[in-house]
Amino acid sequence: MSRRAPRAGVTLLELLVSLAMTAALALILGSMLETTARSATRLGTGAEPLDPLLDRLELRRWIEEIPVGVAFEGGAADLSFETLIDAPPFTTAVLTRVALGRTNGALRAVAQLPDGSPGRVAVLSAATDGLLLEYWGQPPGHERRWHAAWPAGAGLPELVRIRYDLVGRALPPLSVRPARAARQSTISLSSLPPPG
Amino acid sequence: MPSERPDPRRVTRRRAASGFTLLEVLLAFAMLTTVTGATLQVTSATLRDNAIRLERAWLAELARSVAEEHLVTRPAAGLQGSLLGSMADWHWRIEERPARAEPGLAPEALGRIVEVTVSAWKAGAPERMVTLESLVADGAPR
Repeated sequence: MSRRAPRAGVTLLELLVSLAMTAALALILGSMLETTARSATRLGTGAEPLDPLLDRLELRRWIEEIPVGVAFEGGAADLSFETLIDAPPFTTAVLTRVALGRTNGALRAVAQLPDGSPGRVAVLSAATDGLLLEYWGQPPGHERRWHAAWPAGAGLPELVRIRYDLVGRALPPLSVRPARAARQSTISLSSLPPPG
Repeated sequence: MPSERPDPRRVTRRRAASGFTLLEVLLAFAMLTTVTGATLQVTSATLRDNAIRLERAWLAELARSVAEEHLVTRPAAGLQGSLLGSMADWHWRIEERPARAEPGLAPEALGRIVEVTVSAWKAGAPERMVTLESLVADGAPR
């Protein structure tokens, strides 16, 4: 058996086989790249983003932790109320005023520091077209139903519903019970035994 | 008499000059593909999981809103059958049924407690449904 000279190179057959193997490997790699790209697209554009969800949950908490007997006033496109926020820079020693409304197309809830400056801004939507707030409850002299506005001095509504969209994409409505935490901390003697 | 063994320094020099063999290159390429492929698969699985978790977080938020609204505005007579709702891609269903006996639930309260189930899912993916359950006292102040 003769040994090939060290500098003889490769035969055409070897080259062809290696080309075929390289092509097969490239195909496998290509299909994997495609799967990854599809997942990335789905996360980037197909799904609702995370930040508006976190800010929305924060606004929900602010509304649910409203203490009983504070100022609350809302219209069809804005809402302002006082609440207790237990996170810096706020303190539960003083009431914090929160204003929800649309500025420059963005739906934002601004929690103000005692000096009136914005301490925390929750951006629910970077751009919203269809903002609509509704209030369920029984303000004095009215029936218990949905209302387009909630007057100051009428106490708290039982439910606030905020409908909005995210740059044209429909989001679930945000329905939240004001003072939910305070309502649930009281159990009257006549109420049924709590489950669980 | 000259030695039969080649000079080790000359062998090393020749190998260094001849570069890689085809087999070595192919093996290296196969290993590169395997490692890159495995990395891509892990990345792709992570991205998919992230997307699904984010969708579930939004669905839980939808179900929570629907449940809050139903618990406050439900008719005094309760809900007959189930109630379906939808908004764009978002779908939900509200169901009510008498609460089952459970430890901690007073037997005399059983007839007056209703179990409310709210399910939420996105169009085309009912298998990733999120379900919330709550108990409500029928006829009692809420």
